[in-house]
Amino acid sequence: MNALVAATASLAKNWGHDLPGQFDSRASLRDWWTSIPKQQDSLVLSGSGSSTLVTSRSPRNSLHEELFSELVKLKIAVAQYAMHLSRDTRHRIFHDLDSLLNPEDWYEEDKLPQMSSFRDFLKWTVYAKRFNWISLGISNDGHIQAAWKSDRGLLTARYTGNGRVIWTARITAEGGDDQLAGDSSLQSLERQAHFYLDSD
Amino acid sequence: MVGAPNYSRAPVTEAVFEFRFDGVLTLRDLERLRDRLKPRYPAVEDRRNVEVQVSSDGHIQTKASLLGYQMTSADARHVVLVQSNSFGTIRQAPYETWDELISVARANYSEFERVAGRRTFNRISTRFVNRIDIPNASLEADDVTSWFNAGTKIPAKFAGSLKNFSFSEIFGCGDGRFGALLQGGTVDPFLLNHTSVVIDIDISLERDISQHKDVLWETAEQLRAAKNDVFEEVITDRVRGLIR
Repeated sequence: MNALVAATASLAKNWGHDLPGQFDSRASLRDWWTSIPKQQDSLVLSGSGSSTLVTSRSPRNSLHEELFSELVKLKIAVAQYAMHLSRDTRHRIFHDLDSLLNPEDWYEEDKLPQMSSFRDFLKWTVYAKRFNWISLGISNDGHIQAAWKSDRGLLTARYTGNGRVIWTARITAEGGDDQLAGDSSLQSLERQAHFYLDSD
Repeated sequence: MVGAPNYSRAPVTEAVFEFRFDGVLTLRDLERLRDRLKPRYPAVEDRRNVEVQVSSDGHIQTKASLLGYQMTSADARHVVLVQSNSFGTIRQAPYETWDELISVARANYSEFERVAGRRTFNRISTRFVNRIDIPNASLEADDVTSWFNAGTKIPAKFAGSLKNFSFSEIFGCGDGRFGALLQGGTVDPFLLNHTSVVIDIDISLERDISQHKDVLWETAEQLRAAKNDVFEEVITDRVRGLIR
């Protein structure tokens, strides 16, 4: 195990990553390896003396290529939901992604969207059947955020990628607008959306 | 069984047509193939094999070699997997038709043949990865395995508490001419309040492969029929009700 950790550390260092600490099992080592933000696909922890890795890496020479590669990954994620989305909705998401990851409007310091956050957005969209967002964006943390508007009010949601959503709502009420905010599960956000957006 | 039903919510997340061949492509052939395919598949990822050896004195050696390229179209619908001993065409969801998959595979193959010439095929296969998202409310009466005619058995006493399952089965199909590798099981749910089950069907021809010029496309049609047959036999009407 120690030899394997040392070998992995050596390899990781070549690709610019330091081991975060001790690993008590192959599984934890593998989990760390697969979690680091790079292009390697998988780590096969085979023998005590030697190990084989099958890696996958994108030769990225420019911001343009990195954004394009990220865009393709997000579109593949959308494809995983194809059977639950209409053609128009898929096209709309693709169009929004093309705009969000447009190299012309991108700054070096901008964060790429987190895949877990984007998946939560897709999960929720299918669950709530709310395909009429008015805007889609990426927060400073790389979280996907979306907004919906109706005659009754405005709802914004930021998907934090762990099954939770931070949301704000504004509705017109007697005596002026009411503004509210919350931190909910994905399922609970649908109830909030119904309350703040739908007319009875 | 070629005339299998068309499902309006086809659960296919990935459809693959692949062949393997004797010998290996040279690095130069791999690069030439990559460059020829790049206009249609601009997102290129290298696939590398990295060997790590640790000697008894703690000395570490790493050796990397290029396996090939995974190349994706700009709209992320089509992928081509170029490796030193295999060549695959992949259609991501939404899967449309078999004819479309094979038409793209033919176009890709013509690029392959231009660079690599005629090769001796030693495996021709198709693989369909399906994902069925079952509402949890539909699973209250019985466990998820009862939705499929393949999988695992669990004693009745524990069936109600089954959380996850996975299985892998190898058998013959297509009148015994083809081999089927059927893998399935639960995966992390793709939808809220649902259970997602993957049914992964790989049908292959690995022996007595004729090398005449149309063998790929004639075999493809036969593989398709066998693949449809396996899928229809594996799913139950309850699954059909979800994807119809």
